[in-house]
This record gives sequence, C-alpha cells and structure tokens, in this order.
Amino acid sequence: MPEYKGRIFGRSVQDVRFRAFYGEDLFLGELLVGADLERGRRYLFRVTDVAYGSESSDEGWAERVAGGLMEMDRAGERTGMRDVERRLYKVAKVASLGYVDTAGRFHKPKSLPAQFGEVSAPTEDDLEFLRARMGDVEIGRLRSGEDTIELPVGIRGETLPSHVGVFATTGMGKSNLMKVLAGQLLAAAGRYAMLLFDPHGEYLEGGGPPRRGLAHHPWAEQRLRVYSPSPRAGQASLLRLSLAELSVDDLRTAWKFTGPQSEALESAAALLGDKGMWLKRLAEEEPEELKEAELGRHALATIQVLSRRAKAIVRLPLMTEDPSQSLTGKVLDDLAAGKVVLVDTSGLEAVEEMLVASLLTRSLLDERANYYRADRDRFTQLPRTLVALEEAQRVLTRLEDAEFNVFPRLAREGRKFNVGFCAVTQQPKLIDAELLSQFNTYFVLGLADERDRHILKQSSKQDLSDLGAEIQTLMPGEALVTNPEAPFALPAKVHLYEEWLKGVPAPEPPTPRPAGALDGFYD
Amino acid sequence: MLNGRSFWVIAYRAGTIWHRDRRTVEEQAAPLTIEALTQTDARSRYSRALADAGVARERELAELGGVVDVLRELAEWRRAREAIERAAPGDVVLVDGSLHPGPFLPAALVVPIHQLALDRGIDLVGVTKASKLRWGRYAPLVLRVRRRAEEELGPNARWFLRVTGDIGTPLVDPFTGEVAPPWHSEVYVARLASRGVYAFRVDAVRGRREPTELFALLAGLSDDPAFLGYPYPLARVHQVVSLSGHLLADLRRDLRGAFLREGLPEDDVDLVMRDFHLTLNA
Repeated sequence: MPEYKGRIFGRSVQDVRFRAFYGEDLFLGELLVGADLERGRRYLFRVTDVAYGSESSDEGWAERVAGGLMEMDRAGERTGMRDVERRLYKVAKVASLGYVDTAGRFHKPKSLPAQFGEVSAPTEDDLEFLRARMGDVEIGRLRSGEDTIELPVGIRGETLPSHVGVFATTGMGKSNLMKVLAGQLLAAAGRYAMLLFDPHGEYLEGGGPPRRGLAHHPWAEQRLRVYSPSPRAGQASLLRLSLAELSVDDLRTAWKFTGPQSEALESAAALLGDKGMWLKRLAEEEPEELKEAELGRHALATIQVLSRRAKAIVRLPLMTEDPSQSLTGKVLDDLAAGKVVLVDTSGLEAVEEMLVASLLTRSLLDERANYYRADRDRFTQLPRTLVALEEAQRVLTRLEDAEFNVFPRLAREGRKFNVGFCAVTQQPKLIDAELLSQFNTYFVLGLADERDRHILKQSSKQDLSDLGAEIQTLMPGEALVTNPEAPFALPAKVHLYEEWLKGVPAPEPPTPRPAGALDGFYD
Repeated sequence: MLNGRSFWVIAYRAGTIWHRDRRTVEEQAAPLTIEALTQTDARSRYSRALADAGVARERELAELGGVVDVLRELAEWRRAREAIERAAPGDVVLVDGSLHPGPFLPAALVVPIHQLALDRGIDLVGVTKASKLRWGRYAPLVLRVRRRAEEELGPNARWFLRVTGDIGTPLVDPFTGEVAPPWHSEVYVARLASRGVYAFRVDAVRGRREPTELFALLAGLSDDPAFLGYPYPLARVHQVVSLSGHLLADLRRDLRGAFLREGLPEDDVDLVMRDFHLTLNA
C-alpha cells in the first residue's frame, strides 16, 4: 500500500499543488506520485516548495495565533493548539516530472493530473522505468528528499566523452564523488580510462584513516597507475616530463601572458632551438644577450619575464632535459590500456600543476586525434577516456583561449576523439557559458552562491529552474544528476566511498596453470 | 439571506461537536434549513414552531426578526437536550449563548433541559459573546465587572464573578418589579484566560462541580491561542455550523435564479436583492 500523502487541488501543468496533512513531513526534492485514475496514469512529482495552510480565510490569522502563543508563554502558561490536524495543513508545490502510462512508458509532462487525485510515495513499480535508463557507471542511489530509494543512479560510460561537470561548494562531497567515479572506472575492467589530477593528495590514500582512497580499491593493483613528482616507495612511479615536450601553448595555459609576451614566446620557441632547447636557453642565458641575438625585436623587459618563467620550469624537479626519461608515453599507454592514471600534483605549485595537466592532456588529445585520422581501427579499440581536473574554472574561463589552451579545445573537440573532460569546480559561474554548454552530464552538489546555481540552470540539459532551493539545501553527499539520457534531473545520494568499497568485488585471481600444461614446450 | 421587507428568506442550522483530551472527536451539523417567511404568516409560524417543540405559547410574536431567532434557538435547544442525554455524568455541555432564553421562548422549554442536566450530573454552561446584561438602565454589565476586576486584580488575571443571587431565589426586575420564577442557572461574568482580550457572560447549571472547579475547567478549555479566553469547543462548533461567505453567495445566486424562473422581472429581482450596506461598504 503506497504511503498516502494528500490530494491534488490545482493548478497548472508546470505547477501542481497538493494538500497534505499538517503532520506530513515533506522535504524539498522528495519524489511523489499523483494517481490519475481517470486516465490510468501515474504522475511523478518532485517537491519544490512547502508552505502552511489553515482553514481560516483571514490572512492575519496565523500571525495572531503566534501572538496568542507568545502571550501565554510570557504569562508562564504554555499552551498549544487544539485540533491541529483539522485546522492546519501543508500545501506542497510540486514540479511534474512526467507520467508513466499503463504500459509503463514514461512521458514528458504535457497534461494535468486529475484534480483531487491521490498523492503518495512512489512504489518500486512507479520507478521501474528509470532502472533501464541508469548507466553502468553508478554513483549512488536515487534520493527522495532525505530518504534513499533502492534504485541505482548513474551514467552510461559511453557518454563520458560528452564531458562531466562536478559542481559543489567545499565540503559538499566533491572528493567522495570523484573517488566513487574513479572507483567505478577502475572496476570497469578496462572499458574506460581516466586521467585524474590530484592537487590535494586525497584521492590515493583518501586523506588518512578512516578514509579510504583509490589505493584501497580491490582493482588498484591491476588498473590503477600513480605518478608523482615525489613518490613514496612502492606506491607510485616518479613523474618525469621532458622539456622537449612542453609547447608554447602549455606555458600559455599555465601563465597569463600579455600580447607582446606571447609574441616573444613564439619567437623564442621558433628561434632558440627545438626539443626544449629554447626553454633551456631562455632559462640559462642572460636576457640582454638574447635580445642582442635572436630576440632583438622584443623588449628587454618582456624577455626578462620569459626568462624568469623559463627558469622556474627548468628548475622543476619533475622536468628533465632527457626526452628518453619522460613518462608521458607511459601515461598514454596506461590510458590506452583502460587504466586509471592518478597524477599526484599535491607537491606542485598551481602553475606547475597546470603545466603538467596541460602537457599530459594535450598529448592524450593529440594522440587520439592522430589515431582518429590515421588509424581508425586502432582508434575504435581505445577506451573512452575521462580527464579530471579540479578548479577547472582556471582553464575554462574564456572560449577564445581554445586557440592555445588544451582544455577548452578538449571541451569542444574531445567528444569526437572519445576523450571527455571532467571539470570539477566550486565556481561554475566563472566558466564560459558556451564551454559549460558542452558538458552533457552535471553532478550538482550543494552550491551556496546563487550566481553559480543560476548559470547551471541556464546551461543544464534538464530543467533546473525550480530546483534552486533544493540545490541550496543539498546536504553533503546529496546530488542532482542531469544528462540527456535521464528523464529529469535525478536526485541522488552519492555512495560513501568507504562504504561502497566494501561491496566492490575483487578481480578473480588468475587461474593456476594446470599441471603438465607446459609439457612438450620448451621452457 | 434576504430581507425583502415584507418577507425574509432565512437559512440556519445547529450543530454539536464532542471534544476530549484537546481533540475534537466528533462533529455533527444539521442540514441547512432554508425558509421563506412573510409578514403575514410570522405569527402562525411562531405558533407552529413552539407546538412542534411541545410547548405552549406564552406571548404573542408577530415580528419577523423575532421569529427567526426563535427558530434558531429551538434548533439549538434541541441539540442541547440531545447532548445532555448522550453525555456521561461529570461531562460539561457547553451552549453558545445564554441559558436564559429570549422573551419569546417559553421557560417551559428550557427549564426541563436544565433539570435534565442536574438529574444526570452534568454541568450545562452557556457562554454569551455579546451580553445584553446591564448595570442599572444602560451600563454594560460585563464591561463594568471587567473594569472593576482589573482594578482589584490587575490586568492579567483570570476571574469569575456571580452576578445573580443564590439558586432558587426569584428574580425581580428592579424597574418593573415583575417577579420571575426561580431558575436553576446562575449567571457569572468571567475572564477565562489571563491574556484573553474578552470577558464573557457565563450561565451555569451546575450538575456536578463547584464554581471554582467548573471555572478552572472552562479556563483550561479556553487556552487555544487562536481563541484565547473563549472555550475552544464553542469556537469549533461555530465554525462547523456557520455559513461561509462562499456558501451564502451560492445561496443568493440560486435564489436569484429561482426568482427569475418564477417570472419576476430582472429589475424587481435586483431591487429585492440589493443591499445598500454593500454599497456603503464598497
């Protein structure tokens, strides 16, 4: 028997209202069902607001009653209302998400449910149509208000190249969600790959007990590869990148250059030697000498700026002059093999992190683009790959940056090459609106700033216009998931990584070699 | 519903609610009675109503407004009797209005009901929202008592004051010298909540409780913050039987349709149904 909640009394297709008992504890975001017995439909609703109602037609009644209570409080004669359930009630405003017909098919909301129809909590059957639409990358369970429904919420891994946005204020569960997402890709047996930059060092170990990280994932040994500029023994490989791999664009992604500085940078790369020599010379030779020689048409002050930045790059412990020591190729191979590659950038400055992210992402995108153009068979065998970057607003501020910045380019072109961008940010308002519109999947966690919510409402693939209050009141770990495949913005409770990890099946141990299997072979 | 000067169309109903442990456990409202009364049949309608109630007419009444009051009061007293019959000893039956009927309702109707309450050990209490009791010829008694109580007890006190003599004392009208037969009921003026805005006339036929105990109980019933100082069950029953503005508007619209169907010219219908108060209040 569905849990009875109340009766519908109006008022339009987009704005359905129902009356509930005073004692009914309704939550923003709660999923409910309105029965339309006249047409055999079951309307799915989401609570967007709840208000009090009373049987008094006098607008000032509630205010006066509150005054009466206060008077009695002051007199030390605390009292309460009699017949509360008869005199007070709740009015819930709900958004109609659609309806399920008698055949179990879901339809978008284009009609009114029956007036005075019964409203109740959804049954398993009511939500069954959702099950088929949930993808293989599960991130949590369907949430109804503050309750969790035993129905997985996720996205299809095939949609990863259509980009993923993770938006949340600090403390709302971004890191946990990212660990769950990466954990799912780890367990996907090589179908998907992920390049994950970890600026806070929290993904690998989880940030210390009792938290768990990707290192604790049962598939970590087989499918997780960790690179760090300062690895701990046995835990990660030493991250080394070659100066020769760095391009002018990587530098322009990491730093802001003025127009003249950009021009000087282009000149330096063209005139001071290839394979990283230009950076080395910029770092080691005196700016005055460079001006006297190849960079004569640029201002000395401009060359001095380039020189300072080149010095900072060359002195980075992770940079090497020897191209053979670079691990970029290794990272790309890991990704091609369907692994999750965690790059620990926690010991790096923000600029250095950006250099590393830019170089690796550009290399990945270029490699996939080359395969796409030159070897389509090989391309189709490569796993769909997700590049995840925190504080993504740093690299997605301006669409025009796509000329040199690999991340806007990834957002615009990545889909074609099966490379998606997972942009993690607290400030979606700083992301260019057109770039944001390239992201098909949003994981929206709690966002306090109205401007952040506003831009997501404008660019989401599902209507979030009524959900401002819900987004504002999301608790840590609660999310709204939107993507074109979901019938509506799905409320979800993200798995707590540590709990979820307990249920992840470990890979099957390799079958022991049967006795005598090598007989007859030369060993 | 309509005052056509030579005729009235009236609607009324009475109801009962049962309240226990701060909750209303049962509500009953009689169906709405709608009647047309004319000046010419007022007298006969009055007689018939009393006859139906089983009491003899003591006075003549030909005025339409008075007949309307009598019809409503008869319905209410019928309810009061039924409630007393159903109540258990120690229960309190509250009535909206005085336990002393108006001049046109014979004491022979009311006195047996008082007696029934006494016999069954039930406290019968009537609370009058707008009392016509006077001190002397003009001074409103309730207001006068309240002023005095505030002077003596302060503004935030609950109190009650009996304003009639001992039970069984014949009532003498100080102006006419007319002696009324003794009643079982006492008349009080009371303030039932320390923060209540109003004091009320309270009539009591005490079948079980002493005054202090009875008023303590009434004060307990008068603690609802929406109706501080007024017994909540009476407020509830008022809401159950009162005719809402929407209902009255519907009734008037139906009435208008009936007039037109009967062939009254539209101008005459407008004239009959027009209420100059609405113009003044607009």
